[in-house]
Amino acid sequence: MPEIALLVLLTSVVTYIPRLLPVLFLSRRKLPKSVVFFLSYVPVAVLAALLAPTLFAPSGAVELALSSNPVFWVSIPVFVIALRTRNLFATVLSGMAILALLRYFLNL
Amino acid sequence: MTAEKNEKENKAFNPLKGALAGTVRAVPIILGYLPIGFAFGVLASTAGLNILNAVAMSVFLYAGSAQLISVGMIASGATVAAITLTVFMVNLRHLLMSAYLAPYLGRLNRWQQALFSYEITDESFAVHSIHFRKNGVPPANQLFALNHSAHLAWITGTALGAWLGGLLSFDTEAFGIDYALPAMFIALLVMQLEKRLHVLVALLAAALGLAFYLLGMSQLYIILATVIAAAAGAILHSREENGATTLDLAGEGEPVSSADAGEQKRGDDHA
Repeated sequence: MPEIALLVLLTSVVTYIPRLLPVLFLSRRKLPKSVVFFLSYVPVAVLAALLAPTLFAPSGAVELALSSNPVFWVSIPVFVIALRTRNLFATVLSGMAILALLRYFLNL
Repeated sequence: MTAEKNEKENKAFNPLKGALAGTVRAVPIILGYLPIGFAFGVLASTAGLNILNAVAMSVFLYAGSAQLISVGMIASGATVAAITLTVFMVNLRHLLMSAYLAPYLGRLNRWQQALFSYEITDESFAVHSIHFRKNGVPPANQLFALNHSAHLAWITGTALGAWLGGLLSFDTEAFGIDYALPAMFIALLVMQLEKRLHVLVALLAAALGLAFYLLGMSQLYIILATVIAAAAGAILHSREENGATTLDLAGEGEPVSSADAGEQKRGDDHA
């Protein structure tokens, strides 16, 4: 399938360029203060933007019922655990456990 | 980014220890990548790709959502041009992540920078960005151990899925494995909330991200929401810096901001 090979090549190139260019050109340059401020809020903003649809609309529309979107409800105690422990592993493992137990007991 | 911290980590330089530390820090990512890579492998094989094609995508493209979208588009008979354009838009968000990480990577040589940026994903970015800001930049071998072990998990999951996909079913939901990455994002988000402005930017980005996503901008919602929310954060931040003590949103000019500015200055000196 030569078309697939071409597709892999093209998609890989267009994916790599945005990953590469900023690191290559901004790493040894002094950035203007406004850009530094902007970039300092990028991690928080990216994570929040990534998470929101996953938590509120996992199948494309806002869905908050326990039976159809248990992830939303599990995420509430998981936020609290993350705030209290500030520990990545503790948060991930307890989140997985709570969701698994919830699914088990509610037969989801 | 602080020079003292970098030096301290360099003194304790031990290649094996660094590699191990990097791999351990990748564990939450690996937990998520194995099953999602597996799912991708299964979908790729049902879309008609052989194992080699599926693995090639995971090796060279290495971007979960874009790979899943590509396979879906291949299955529906889209053109190479359409798929390439879609993948470009979906992955454009890495531009911002790369820009954020750039100032921390000045110590790496050009080849190391090229290799490091090749493995920037949402997940590796999330783990690196918080570590860089809080603990400084670890030695290169730790950085690459984290990146490579995550990438290897992704490739392994893909190969297994493409190979076994048709033969056995694997219930990731029973163990909550499908929640590993969202839980990791929650933990990393919470750890980044250092002052009130961070919370504000997070809420704005979440609201915009959800709105853009629901409006059907499933390819660009992350980058659009991020740019707008981070820009709003930057504007409020610089107003706060300029001594606008009347601005309530800026948290009454808490000392945190001046400490932040100090850090920024030190970073500039270093660069």
